[in-house]
Amino acid sequence: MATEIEEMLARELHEVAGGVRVPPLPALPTEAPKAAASWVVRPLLAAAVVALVIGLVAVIAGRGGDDRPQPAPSPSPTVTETDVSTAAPTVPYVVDGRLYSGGEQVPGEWWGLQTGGEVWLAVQSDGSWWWGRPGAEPRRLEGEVQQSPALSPDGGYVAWIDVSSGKAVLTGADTQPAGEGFGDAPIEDLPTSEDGVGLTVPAVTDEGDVFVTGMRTRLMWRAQFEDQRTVVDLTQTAPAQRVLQATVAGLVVVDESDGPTDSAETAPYLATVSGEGRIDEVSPLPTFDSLEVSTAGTWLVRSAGGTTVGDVMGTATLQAQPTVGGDEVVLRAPQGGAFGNSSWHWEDDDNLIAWVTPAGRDDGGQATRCNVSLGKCVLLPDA
Amino acid sequence: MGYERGAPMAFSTTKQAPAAPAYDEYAASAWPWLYRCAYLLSGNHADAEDLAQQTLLQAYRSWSKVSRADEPRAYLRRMLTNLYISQRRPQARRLELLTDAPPEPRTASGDAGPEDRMVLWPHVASLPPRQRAVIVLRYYEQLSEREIADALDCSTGNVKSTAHRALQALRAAVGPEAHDGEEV
Repeated sequence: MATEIEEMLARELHEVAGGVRVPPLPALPTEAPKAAASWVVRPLLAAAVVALVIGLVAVIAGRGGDDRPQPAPSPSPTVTETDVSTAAPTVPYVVDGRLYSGGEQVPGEWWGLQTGGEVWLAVQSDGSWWWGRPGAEPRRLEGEVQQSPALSPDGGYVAWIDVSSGKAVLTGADTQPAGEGFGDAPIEDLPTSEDGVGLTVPAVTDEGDVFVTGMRTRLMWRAQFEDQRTVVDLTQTAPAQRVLQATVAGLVVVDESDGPTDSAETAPYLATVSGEGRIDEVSPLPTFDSLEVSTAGTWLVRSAGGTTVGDVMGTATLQAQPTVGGDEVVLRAPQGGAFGNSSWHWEDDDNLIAWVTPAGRDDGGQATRCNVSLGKCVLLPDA
Repeated sequence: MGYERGAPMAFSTTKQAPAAPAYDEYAASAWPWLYRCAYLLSGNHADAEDLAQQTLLQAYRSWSKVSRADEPRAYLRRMLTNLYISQRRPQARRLELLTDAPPEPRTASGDAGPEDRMVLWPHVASLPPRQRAVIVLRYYEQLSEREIADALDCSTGNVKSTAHRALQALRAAVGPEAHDGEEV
C-alpha cells in the first residue's frame, strides 16, 4: 500500500512532467551514425581540441629551453605487442557466444561463463546451465536453477538452488571426476525468495562450503564436511556481512552494517571464514562491478564500480592490482576496442583471457590475452 | 566464482544502417515522453535536452536491436537512465565546449512556477542519481521493482534498498509534517 509520501511523490512528479514545455524534436541523424547530428560531435570536437592542446604543451615542454635533442620518450607499455604470447588459451573462454574449451568449440551459444581451472560453467540461450571440462561431455545442472549458480575457484564444486519442485532446494555437485551430486542441503523451509528477491548462491569454496544469500537469509552449508549436515546461520556468526564471491585469495565480503549495499557502492574486503561461520577480514578491496582473482591469488582485475552496468556493453579498460594492495596496472583493450562485460578470466597468475571487439569491427570480435606484468594486451588468432 | 552486478550480459556488435523512416517515426512519437523523463531526472531543460538527444542517438546506433525489441520504450528507458547515472557519477569527467550562448536559466529557481510550490520535488533534485532514477521510474513511470531492476541492470533487492534510502532521505528532508502517521 502506498504511503502518503509515495502518493505525494507520484502526484508531484506527474504535475512537473505535465507542466514541462517539450521543445521540438531536434534534427535526427540521416546518414551513418558517425555522421549524426551536430550535438553529438561536440564532445568529440572537444576531445580533439584537448588532445591537440596536450600535444602542443608536451612539444613545448619537451624543448627544455634549448635546441639540444631531447632523449627519446620512454617506450609506451602498449606500443610493442610481441612479448605477450599469442598461443591458444589454456582456459575456457567465450567469444560472441562461442565457448571454447581445450581448443575445441563446445556446441551451442553460451553466456555468463565462470571458470575454475579447466572447468567451465555457463548458461545456454535457453537458460539451462551446464558445466564441463576438456575431453568430457558437458553436464547439465539438474532441476530448475534459480539465478546464477556458483563454481568454486579451483573448479572442483558447483552449487545452485533448484526450484523445480516449487520449493527451494540447495544442492551441488563435485565436478571431479564424474559429477557426483551433493544431495540436498539439510535446510527446512528454505524460501525461494524474500521480499520478492530470489535467494542466490554467491559462492562455493574449494572446501565445498556453500553460501546462500537472501534479503534476510545468510547461510553457510558445509557440504563436504563430516556428515554434510552442518549449516551455519551467518546472521548470528557474522552479522550484516554479505558474501559476494569466493576467490583463491579468500571470500569477497561486503559490510552491510549501514544498510543494504553492493560492491560498487561500498568497498568490500577479502576474508576468511571459519568452520563456525566467523568471518575475518584479511585485506580491503577497491569497489568494483566485476572482479576476478588470479589463479595463485596474486593479482585481482576488476571493472571499476559503476562502469559496466546498465546498457553499457563493455569497457575499454580493466584495472589490475596486487591483491595485497599496490600500484594499479591499467589494461587497455587492443585496437581501441572494449572488453565484453565480465568476459575476463585468469589463465594463470600473469595472464588474462578476455573477449574484445576492436573499434569499428562488426564481426563479433576475438579473444585477447593481457599480461599484467607487461601491462599489455594482444589479440589472439581465431580458434 | 565471479561476482557480477546484474545479470550476465552479452554485447552485440551487429551494426546495420537503421531503417530511417521507422526510426524517424519512432523518435518523433517517443520524444515528448523521453524529454519529460529526462527532465524529471535532470531537473532542468538544458540537461534534459542533452540527455534525451543522446538517448535517441544511442537508439539510432542500435536501431536494429531497439526496433526488434518487444518493448522499444523499455530499451530507451534503459539507455536514458544509464546515460543519466553515468553522466552524474562524481568521478566522471565530461568535456564541454564554451559557447557564445548564455546558459539557460534553471527552472527550479527564479520564477515561481508550480514546481516551486511543491513539497517533495525540490528535494528529489538533491537525491543521488541512482536514488533519483529509482524514484522517477517508480513513481512517475509506475514501473514494478522487477522492471526498474531491468532498467538499471541491478537486482530487485538493490532497487528496494535504493528506494528505501531515497524515501528515507525525502522524509527527513521534508520533516514530519508531510507524512504524519505513516510508517517509516
